[in-house]
Amino acid sequence: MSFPVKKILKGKIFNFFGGIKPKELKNTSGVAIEELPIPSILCLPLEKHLGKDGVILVNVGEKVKKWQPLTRTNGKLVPLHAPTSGVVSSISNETLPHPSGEKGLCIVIKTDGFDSEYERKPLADFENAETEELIKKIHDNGVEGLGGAQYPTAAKLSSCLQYAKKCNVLIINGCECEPMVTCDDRLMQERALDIVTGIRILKKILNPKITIVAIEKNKPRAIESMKHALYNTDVAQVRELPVIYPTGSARNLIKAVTNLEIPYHEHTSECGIVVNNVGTVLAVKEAVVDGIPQISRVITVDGKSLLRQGNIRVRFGTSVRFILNTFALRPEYKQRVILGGPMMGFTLPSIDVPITKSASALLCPNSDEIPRHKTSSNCIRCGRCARVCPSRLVPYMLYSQSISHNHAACIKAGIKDCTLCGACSYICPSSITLTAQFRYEKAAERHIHEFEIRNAMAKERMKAKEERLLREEEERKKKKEAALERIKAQKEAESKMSPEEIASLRQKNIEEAKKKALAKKEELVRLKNSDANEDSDMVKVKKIKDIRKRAIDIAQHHGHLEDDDSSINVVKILNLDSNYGYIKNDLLPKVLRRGENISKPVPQFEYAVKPEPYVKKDLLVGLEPDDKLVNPV
Amino acid sequence: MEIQTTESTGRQVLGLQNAPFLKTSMSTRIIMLIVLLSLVPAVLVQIYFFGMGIVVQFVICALTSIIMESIVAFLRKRSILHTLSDFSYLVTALLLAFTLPQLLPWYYTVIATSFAIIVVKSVFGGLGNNIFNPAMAGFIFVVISCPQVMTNTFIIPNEGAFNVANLRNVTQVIFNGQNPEILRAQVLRYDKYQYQKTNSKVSQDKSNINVDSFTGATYLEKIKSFRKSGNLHEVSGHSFLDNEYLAYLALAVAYSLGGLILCIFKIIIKRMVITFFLAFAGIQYVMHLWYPGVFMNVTDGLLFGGTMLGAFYIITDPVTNAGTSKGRIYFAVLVAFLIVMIRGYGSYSDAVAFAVMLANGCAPLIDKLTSRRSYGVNFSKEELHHE
Repeated sequence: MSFPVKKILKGKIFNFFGGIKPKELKNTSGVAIEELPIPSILCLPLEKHLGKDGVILVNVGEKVKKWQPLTRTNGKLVPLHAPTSGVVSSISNETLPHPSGEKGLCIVIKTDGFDSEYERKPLADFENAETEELIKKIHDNGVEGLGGAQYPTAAKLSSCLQYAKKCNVLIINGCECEPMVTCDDRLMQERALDIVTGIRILKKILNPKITIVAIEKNKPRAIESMKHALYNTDVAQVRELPVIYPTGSARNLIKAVTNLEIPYHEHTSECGIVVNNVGTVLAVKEAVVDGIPQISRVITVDGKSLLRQGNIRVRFGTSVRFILNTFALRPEYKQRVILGGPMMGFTLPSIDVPITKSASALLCPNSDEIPRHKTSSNCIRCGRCARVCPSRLVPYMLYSQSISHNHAACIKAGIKDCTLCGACSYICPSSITLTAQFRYEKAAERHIHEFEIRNAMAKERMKAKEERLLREEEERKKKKEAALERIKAQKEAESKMSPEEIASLRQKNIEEAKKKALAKKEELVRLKNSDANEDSDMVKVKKIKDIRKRAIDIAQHHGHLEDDDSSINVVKILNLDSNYGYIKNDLLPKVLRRGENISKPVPQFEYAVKPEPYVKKDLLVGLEPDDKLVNPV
Repeated sequence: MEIQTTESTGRQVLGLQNAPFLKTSMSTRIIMLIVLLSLVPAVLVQIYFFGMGIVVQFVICALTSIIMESIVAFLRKRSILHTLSDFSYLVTALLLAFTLPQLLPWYYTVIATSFAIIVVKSVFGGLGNNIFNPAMAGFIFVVISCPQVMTNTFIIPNEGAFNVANLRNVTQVIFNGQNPEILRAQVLRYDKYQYQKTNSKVSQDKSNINVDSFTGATYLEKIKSFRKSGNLHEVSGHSFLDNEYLAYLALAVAYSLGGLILCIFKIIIKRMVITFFLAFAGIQYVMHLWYPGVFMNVTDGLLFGGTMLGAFYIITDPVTNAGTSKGRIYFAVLVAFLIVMIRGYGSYSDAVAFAVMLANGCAPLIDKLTSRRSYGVNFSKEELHHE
């Protein structure tokens, strides 16, 4: 089976198994993208921008400019960039955009409103550039997939070049099958020419045999716009796909366009097929041609609880509260705030969380628009879920295995193929929360895997300990025997000597021991003195003090700070070295360490003046004051 | 000093929910209601040809099942209202009413329904967990326990039977223990064109009826002795447009209409029903050709003995048939084969019920044998890059 290039070029649309047709609800596809104002605080999670041996390049109190890199990473992960200019106000644990409301390390930037720019290196002549250079540029500018999985684009491209030797199909994913979400639709309508430039760059890197722009039929304006932009060029072909729900999922899209079923344990890029979201393509264009890092994305804000709906370009780190304030939320009782689409998104437990690269929409529906769930009743095995599952699973059987905690059977039935698309839960007439159970099951599988690894490690440790103990015991035995012999010899010698000679010998031994102790003490004191060179730290603190003062001046100038607040402290970080405090001896990836009892090392701070307890004041502009967001400054 | 992270102390004011947030409007309750409504034409045909018996039986079945479901929910400490909110027990009750004889004394009906709801359904864990079809199991329980009553209380269809077997007469038989033979004879003798004139005459004739003349109830019971001795081909043929057999044709049409409604709402799988009919017709035709003395012809097989009801309503019951779509097709073929065989050689003539029960028992095995292939199973990365 060689690659069916000719068959694909014919332009036939293939069917994939399953799929649902929910209500489209795309009422914002006619609303133009608007720029959101800069909020007063930006919170940037470091979760995907640090890794094991990443380094934070900025310190608390340091001034940063727009587009300035904040972290340095190794391997796949991409660096983080400052979305606007300002001062780093803290590096602390903040609430992450996660359904559980868990906390993670974030860089918090207090913006100054100048939006002053860092240097950038545009590369307009990408046609003559080297492939490695282009990939490095995409990596350094922090481009990640905006479709939802947040996979680094540079890693995807290089893995395709490395494993598949040559790319066969490049698919630009403009399907946007999620109901209510229209951000990709708007991008294609407004920035079609830029997207085509982005496709050109990707084609230069990958040199694919076929390039396809896949758009669902319910976006006629986007199709027209893309066709217009691609008119009289051989850059790409536009494919109009039928409107079925998980068409936008990479494997289903590949099946629909090329009739190839790529199993879930293979990477699509390693098979020579690269799927990229239109938003990502635009970010690639901006990264290469303009030299702008990925610092913002377009999201759809929709829902009848908001006064108005629309599409906005929002900088990463903007608080959800700020967006909802801008769009005037009128909450009902137990208002649901959904981050992501209505099929795969999640409700937020708190609205003081930042927008990240994976968020595609922010929805505040009321109960009429999206009714609340009913209590589930028993499964009647009608088989609807099996008929709609795009991964060819039988969800109700998986569910019954999962609720009886039969994890081995779940793996055998294919829980790893589940993409959590939500089609089974959508169709279930008994309102069973299948997808939620599968999400739980996947977490449980991860936990079991982690436990097994931990067990293996503990066994190894135990073995090493036993060996060590045996060794030590032998050593001790030898020592004891040697000591016994020595004592025996001494006693024999003493029996021959007179009592005066014995007394003088003892005196001599004691004096020798005293000398030894004194030498040891002096050595210790000398070491301690050599360690204490406070000079460099003092210089550091002074520097931070200066920068802090300057920041306060600017803030007062802009009215962010009302009066001269001298209580702002000089903060010294005690344990901040070049390897920023991640656990050095961790052998497991972060996901597997979740259940472990190792607490994350939190930066230790020392204040020059002890901070006063926080009193709620209306200090911040543009953001409703909330004590959760304010750091102990 | 460690950095302080302020803990949220307030109560959760935002609503939390599991994704996906969208949901279809099709719920279990609506599915059951559609099934009930699709059976309305069949109920009307039953009333026209067999009298009001089915209505009374349905009421008894429904009331019994509601009471039994409530008792079970109370014992299992479940919400009674929530248990009664899906109307699955009403579907069971209606199917039982269709299969049970019209004039069956009320205590038999109550026993059949109780058996169906408690032993067959609730003991195994309630709706969705039962192995056997409750309606069929309840019916078979009564058939095996007291076969004589089942043949005696069956009304031989006649056009306009509801005039004679009206609500008053039927309740007299069912509740007050009147001899069902009298009413059966009245229905058989009834001629709808002369009814207006001889309305008073019928009641006068009541005493003169020769009760012994009504033995075999259904057509399948009638031919039982012939097929046992292998002389079925000697039975004289009949047309379905005759007065006695028109009822079966009309019932078949009514069931097909209901089945069509279910197909339109995608409640039953079309493929399964079509496979059943094809398999049934094929097997019946071949067996009839080989052993005409034992097996009846295809039309008779389709129209008599609840084959149509079974095809559209019994074998398509999602709970008790095989789980996979491929398995459901094998299930349909198995049921068709068993119906033909039991009608040929079985000692009971209620072949559909027995065949469905036997196939229900095989369903888990069919599930196991027809598991679905996983996604991208034949994919090979190396072959793909091979030029």
